[in-house]
Amino acid sequence: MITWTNQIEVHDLNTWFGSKHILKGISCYFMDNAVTAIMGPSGCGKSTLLRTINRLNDMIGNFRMTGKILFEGEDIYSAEASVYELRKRIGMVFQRPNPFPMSVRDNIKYGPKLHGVHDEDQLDKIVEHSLRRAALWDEVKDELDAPAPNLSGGQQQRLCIARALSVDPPVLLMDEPVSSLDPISAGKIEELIVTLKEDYTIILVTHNVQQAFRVSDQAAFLYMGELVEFDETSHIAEAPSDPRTEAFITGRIG
Amino acid sequence: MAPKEPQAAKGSNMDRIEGPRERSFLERLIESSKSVLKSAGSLLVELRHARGAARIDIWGRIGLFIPALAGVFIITLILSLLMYESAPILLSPEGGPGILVNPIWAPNQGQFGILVFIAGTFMCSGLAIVIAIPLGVGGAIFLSEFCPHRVRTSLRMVIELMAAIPSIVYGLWAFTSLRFWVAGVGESFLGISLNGLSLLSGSLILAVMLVPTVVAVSDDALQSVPVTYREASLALGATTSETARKVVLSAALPGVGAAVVLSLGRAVGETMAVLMVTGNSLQIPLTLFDPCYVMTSIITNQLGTAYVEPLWRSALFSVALVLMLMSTMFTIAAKLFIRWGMKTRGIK
Amino acid sequence: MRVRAMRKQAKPLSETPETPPDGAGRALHTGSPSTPGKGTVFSKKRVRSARMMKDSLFKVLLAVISVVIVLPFFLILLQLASAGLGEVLGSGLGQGIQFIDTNPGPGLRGGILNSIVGSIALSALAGAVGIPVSVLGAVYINEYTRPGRVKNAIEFGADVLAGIPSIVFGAFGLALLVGGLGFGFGLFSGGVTLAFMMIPTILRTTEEALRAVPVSLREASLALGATKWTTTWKVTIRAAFPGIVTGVLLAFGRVIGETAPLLFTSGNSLGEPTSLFGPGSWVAALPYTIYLYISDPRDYLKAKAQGTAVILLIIVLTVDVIANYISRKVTRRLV
Repeated sequence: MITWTNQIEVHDLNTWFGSKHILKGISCYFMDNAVTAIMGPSGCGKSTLLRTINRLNDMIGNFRMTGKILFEGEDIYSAEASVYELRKRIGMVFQRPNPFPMSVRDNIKYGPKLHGVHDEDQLDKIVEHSLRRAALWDEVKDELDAPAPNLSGGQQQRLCIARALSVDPPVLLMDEPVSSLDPISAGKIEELIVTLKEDYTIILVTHNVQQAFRVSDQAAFLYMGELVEFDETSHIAEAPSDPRTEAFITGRIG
Repeated sequence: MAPKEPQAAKGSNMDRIEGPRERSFLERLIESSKSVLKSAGSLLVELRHARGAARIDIWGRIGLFIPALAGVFIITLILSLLMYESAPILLSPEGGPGILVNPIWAPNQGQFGILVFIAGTFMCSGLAIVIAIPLGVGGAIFLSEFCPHRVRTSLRMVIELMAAIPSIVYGLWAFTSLRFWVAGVGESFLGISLNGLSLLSGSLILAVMLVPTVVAVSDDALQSVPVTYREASLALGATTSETARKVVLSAALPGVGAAVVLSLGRAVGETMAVLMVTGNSLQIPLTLFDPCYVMTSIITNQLGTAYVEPLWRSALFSVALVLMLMSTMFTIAAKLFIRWGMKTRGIK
Repeated sequence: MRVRAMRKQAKPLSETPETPPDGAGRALHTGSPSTPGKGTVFSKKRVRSARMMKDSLFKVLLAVISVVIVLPFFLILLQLASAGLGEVLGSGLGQGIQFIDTNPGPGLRGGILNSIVGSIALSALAGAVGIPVSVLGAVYINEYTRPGRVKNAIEFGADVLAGIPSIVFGAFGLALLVGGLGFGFGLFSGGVTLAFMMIPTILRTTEEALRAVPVSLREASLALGATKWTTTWKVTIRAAFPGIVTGVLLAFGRVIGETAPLLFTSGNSLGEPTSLFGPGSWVAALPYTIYLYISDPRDYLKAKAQGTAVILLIIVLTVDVIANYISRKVTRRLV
């Protein structure tokens, strides 16, 4: 019987786009039911790391990787792995809200329908449940059939969160989910993330140090493709062990 | 002392507070004309006071306005002329609007029923569309979503070249090759000797001509769907083909749908290629291998000789009028479809 | 890189609560349940699921469709090459030149110079009338109108005009120019009818070209104190010029291949046109000639139709290739 201690483990991950070496020897793990922040300056590979976890980088022709990423104990890049099942169990929220140009209801029904749910009652329950979880239900419940792009930016992003939750993934990847939003919406979503971590494992990419400190339990600092430091957030905040980390969190690099 | 607000007497129709009145079409027309006259008036006032470069500016503006109206002007001209030329047959006792449903076309005997041609056009274009749309949209999806990059440029170039080939060249090929293949197929089905001039040949060459435009316009529409929608779909666990069908195509539907409706308009109006391979018989076809007669063909074939015979000529012009109204209808339908499609998708 | 040894027991997924009240906890599960200690989705016996089969099938189907779509292109080229080229170049380049260089003789044997010259003359006249009207009109629509009812009406008019069948233009030309205004058959009537057909195309492409010019260019000019008139002509149109030229060339390509509008307006001739009106203006055109030859029962004329089609196709495709080349060079410049 295999036991594993964390849902996602990264072992010595290196990635290339063509000849550009992006991620260099990353090894870390992501705690269950906690928020792990991946922080670092722009262009250091944070998004690449995230997209390698749900294999979205497969779509890029010249992507290469070595190393292993284990999800529930199994190598997600192995030949037997089903990328579609993987992505069902690992959800993603993008930097700019990208609700489909359909109604709110159809946006949320999309995922479950793909994976075999066709009963209308069950789908409606999923719609309500996901929207409640994303703290959006009260605002849209009377207009579920209105086109999603008509919502405000913050509402659209919460809709995207609800959509990601619709297939009940144990893990949620979030790529700078609030960086394109106004501060009030951003704040609401940060609160949402904190409540979600009770039931989901959240990996949050951010370039905003304060946000990482506010929201996360564990933090990884990525700099130029290397994992410089990886520790409990409180430890990093009080006493970073690497000078580069310190430079980043005090704003000298970023 | 009378109260300030109107008291709603029992049973009166002042129960609700009056909002802005629904203005009738006439009122809106008058309003528009008033505002047009106002701006024209202010333009003239400006003209009086302006000097030098500003004066050229205003003259230029007035001067450019005239060609801008060319489109509207020409359409009005065409419409009026067609109606003028069709009037004799539509008002005459021998014809009247009934020619639209009269299946007998025999001008020498005073029969001007154009139903045969209307039916012919419907059947030929209808079949062509049924063939062309799946092929065209399918090809566009392939081109946009699945085609390897190097193949895509060449494929797209071939498609655009196909769109540029004149219809007479398509007609020539259909007449010398395509129809014989159709004849071969027909002969094996029906066991009789055929020359291939048929409804099927007409529809096939029409489909061949429609596909490139459908592909090009649909491809553009699909390409303009933001990449991030595809990523969101894949991140939920969809395959690339599911993404293409359920997200990308759905998002691009306004453009794709417009292409479909517009190609219906083109199908109806296509002349030369169809003329050469449909056989031009005055019976409504019963099978795919029967010849048919479309509206564009009857005009092409007979307008020359008919010109001096008033009713005959008028009947042919009425066919042209029907054609014009149909194509206008399709253009309007395409625009409405785009507007509806964008509204339901929340696209501005 | 330092990693604090922080290992925490993972929460086994089977502990997921059932239908949660009011949105708390995990949602109704939509897929396979899992048990701790066992790989869920990546079990070794995972076989190509139905969804993956559908995916591959779909892509194969689309690839087949794409092949079917372009097949006629090559078939047409093939036929024209074998039948048509043979006609044109039968005994070498000399015959080819003769084909282009001489008028049809007795029994219509000989060259097609009349058609070539006629097509060029008709297109030139069409352009002379159509280009100014449409370009100037597009300039007005794009630069001088605000989005509103007038602009919508004008654009609607152009779109409707673009959809009108070519034979309707032919009938219109016959009724208005040949008959009504009494210009008779010939170069003028044919050319103006073609102009009507060119207008919506050039209007639309010019509009697009103008729209592609960034607003900041106009603003920079106005900020320097130029009038709108000067800005439009010296800045905007200059920037949009390649796009406008592309549109014009494409419209020419279309118009050279049009038959129906000419059937009742241009007359026909075995020689070149000598005047703009009257019997001397009767003019042949390549597509019209093809139509006449292929409708003729004489076999050698059917062969000649193929040869004429080759020439027509070469002209049209050359014009289009040039247009595309220009347009591609533009995209690099404005970006």
